[in-house]
Amino acid sequence: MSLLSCRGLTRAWGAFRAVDGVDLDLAEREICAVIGPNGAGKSTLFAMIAGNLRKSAGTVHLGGEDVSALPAHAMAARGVARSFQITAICPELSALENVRLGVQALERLRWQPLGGAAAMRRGEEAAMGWLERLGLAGQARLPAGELAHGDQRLLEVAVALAQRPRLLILDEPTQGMSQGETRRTVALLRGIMAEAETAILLVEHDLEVVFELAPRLIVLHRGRKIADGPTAQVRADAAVQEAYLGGLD
Amino acid sequence: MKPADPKLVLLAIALAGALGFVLPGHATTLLTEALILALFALSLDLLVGHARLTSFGHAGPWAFGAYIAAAQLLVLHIPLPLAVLVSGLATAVIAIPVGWLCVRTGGVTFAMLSLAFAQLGFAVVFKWNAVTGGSDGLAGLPRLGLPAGREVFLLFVCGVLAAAYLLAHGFVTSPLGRIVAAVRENEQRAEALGHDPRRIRLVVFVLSYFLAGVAGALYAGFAQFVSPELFFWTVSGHVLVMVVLGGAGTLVGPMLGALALFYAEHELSALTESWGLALGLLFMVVVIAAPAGLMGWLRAAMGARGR
Amino acid sequence: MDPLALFTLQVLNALSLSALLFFIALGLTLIFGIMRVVNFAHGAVFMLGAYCGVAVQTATGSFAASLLAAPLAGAALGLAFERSALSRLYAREHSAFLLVTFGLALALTEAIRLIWGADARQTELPALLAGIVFVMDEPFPVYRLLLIGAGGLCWLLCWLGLQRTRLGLLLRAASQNPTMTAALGNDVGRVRAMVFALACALAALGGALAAPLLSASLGLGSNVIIDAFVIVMIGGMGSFIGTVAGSLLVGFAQTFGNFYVPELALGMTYALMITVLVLRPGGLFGRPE
Repeated sequence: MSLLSCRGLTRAWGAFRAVDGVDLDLAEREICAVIGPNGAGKSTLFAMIAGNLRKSAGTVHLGGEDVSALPAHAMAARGVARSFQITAICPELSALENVRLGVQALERLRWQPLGGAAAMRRGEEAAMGWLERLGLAGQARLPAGELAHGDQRLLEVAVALAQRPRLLILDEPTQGMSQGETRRTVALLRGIMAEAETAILLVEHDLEVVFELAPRLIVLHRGRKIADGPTAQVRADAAVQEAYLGGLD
Repeated sequence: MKPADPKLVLLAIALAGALGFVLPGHATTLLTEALILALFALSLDLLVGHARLTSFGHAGPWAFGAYIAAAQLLVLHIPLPLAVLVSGLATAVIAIPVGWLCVRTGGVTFAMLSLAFAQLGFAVVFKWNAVTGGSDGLAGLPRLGLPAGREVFLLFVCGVLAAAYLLAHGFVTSPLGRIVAAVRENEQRAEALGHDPRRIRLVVFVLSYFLAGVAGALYAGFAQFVSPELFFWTVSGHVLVMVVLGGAGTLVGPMLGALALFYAEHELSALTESWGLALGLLFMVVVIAAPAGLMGWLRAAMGARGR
Repeated sequence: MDPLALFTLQVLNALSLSALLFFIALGLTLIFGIMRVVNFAHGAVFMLGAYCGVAVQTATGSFAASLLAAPLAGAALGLAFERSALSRLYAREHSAFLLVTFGLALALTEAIRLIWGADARQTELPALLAGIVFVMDEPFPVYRLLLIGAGGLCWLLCWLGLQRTRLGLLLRAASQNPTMTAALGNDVGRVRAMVFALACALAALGGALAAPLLSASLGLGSNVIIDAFVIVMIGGMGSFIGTVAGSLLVGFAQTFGNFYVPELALGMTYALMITVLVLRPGGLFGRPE
């Protein structure tokens, strides 16, 4: 049984369809990248899956449960974590605190209105672990807003990973990074992805990143899925080549 | 910002209570009123400072708590300590539907809605002569359940303030309190972490209103008189000034701000006619040049680093 | 009295109140729509206009002069405040505007009290305007009709100004996209200063017009600011037509409420605002924040 099962996902604004009848299945611990030219509907698709955007049509099933109508926070509570295209971190809180919030996210103690000091310390230790793996340990105590852009993108990934999600959605994690930062990020992600217990959906514009990280590739064009399969195969597909090379829209 | 060490704060409050036995009667009375206002400011800081929800209607829960306490003292003859707690709880209960309506919005709309509710309270109390005494208010409230004496009353106020501070501090540093901080910093991120921002804000709202109701009830016992003016938006404005001047989000700052403002007004209004003008100007200057208020200035002076 | 005549008179009363409210609400919505600033001091500026009007009329004996002096005073104050205080806050978050304009309201109220004392003052109307006309055989003050006319004229001029002039186009552009407007070479700073000054002038003019009717007193600012905010929130912040609709709604609600259900009238405006905001947080015509 697949972890994630989407059928006929559609998002329309009037006559314009940003996403048009997309089906998507993702197994547990599977890694899949979604690519496509600008305006293909990638971010819109992810927003619908994660609950940030209402669906005009279509269903989403997570672990067998129908989650189509759930808002973002309910999806997150069911084990869906995501990073955003435009960095969404808590700027005045420290980097460590940001990640600790990720660790704490699904724990029962989060509703505790008093005390909880010991549990929070444990959370900080776990958070520190994540920061170390992503090379941010040195900046743990800094306000997150003061980190360099590339480090902020990494921090977002750390927060999402710290939630130990079933499904991780990464929306252009290397966006705005320099070449060096991107290479470093790819190496880090490759290591983490190898041992993570989570299924990953990845959107990227940088095709080198995609080809290095994802064994499976989905291609969107004008809201429709035009390819879905092993990366090498999809790369060679004629329709994909045409979508990227021909027809300027 | 890292909250100040609670032990120091509790010590300061204890000292203030002890002062009652040393100071002349009139000074004790002033100190009592100042500390009640400090509690009022503390309650608003949870909303304005910690959750960053600017409210122009905090006089609402304050006055509501005062009137509920008045009812208990006058009609039901409930001793003041219990009446204070009951007033707080009653205010918290009312805060649930009011808060539910308010936290669905943010920014200006939230400020205006909170103001509207407080003004609505004013209108109701003003007109409902039979129950609330109308514009005359309710006078002669007895201080039931407490031994007589200003020093004793001051100790009582200090006790309540200390308990309230511990509650506020404990909340802010708790797991739930940290989530409130996340919601204020980045709502989208908080949602992605599985938290419903509206529900989280409602929790702070209710807690803030609870403490404001407690403060109002204390004031009713202190002044032994309640009137519709307690609801008026100028009262909301006043406590907001205290919070901003003291340093929003620090808990201690607003309490200090309340004390500073109370005493400054008391001293300077006797000296000069134009005190109000100076206050307005000072407030503007602080908002523009020193938005972190008194606490921010103190911290910068001590070279501390925020968390 | 003939019920139809009574009703008509009440309608005219409501319209004149709406007209007065429109002057102050219009400025508020201009400031928010174009500058995203919430001006809590707007009621105080209205009050300043009333006091200025009375002072000028007492000094010169001319009502017309008071109608000229008040908006000038308002504009001067608005300009000074925008340049010295507001302009430093545009980079900050919005709560700073709420707070700093609140401080201005405090300071302004106190300044007025220092200059003119705590007594209420009233303007004397010139004989021409102080009379009555007969509407459906019932007497009705001429001045209230003048107010309706003034409100209507103001509405017309503003509407034409926004729709037909280059300046109006600039203001509308700035309200929709200030960054782009600046990038296209327009001095957004100057636009902001102008808008704030204009809005304050309108409020002050409204105050001067209100003085014969409401009398200038220290409570005027706080009474009026709440009503103005209710109007703007109901109509939708930044919406011109929303301000018109809101002014009419509140004017009518208050007039008829005061007449038919005086017990509830005081709370009615607030209940109205709460209802509208809960159902449509952006107001009837506005966009959500």
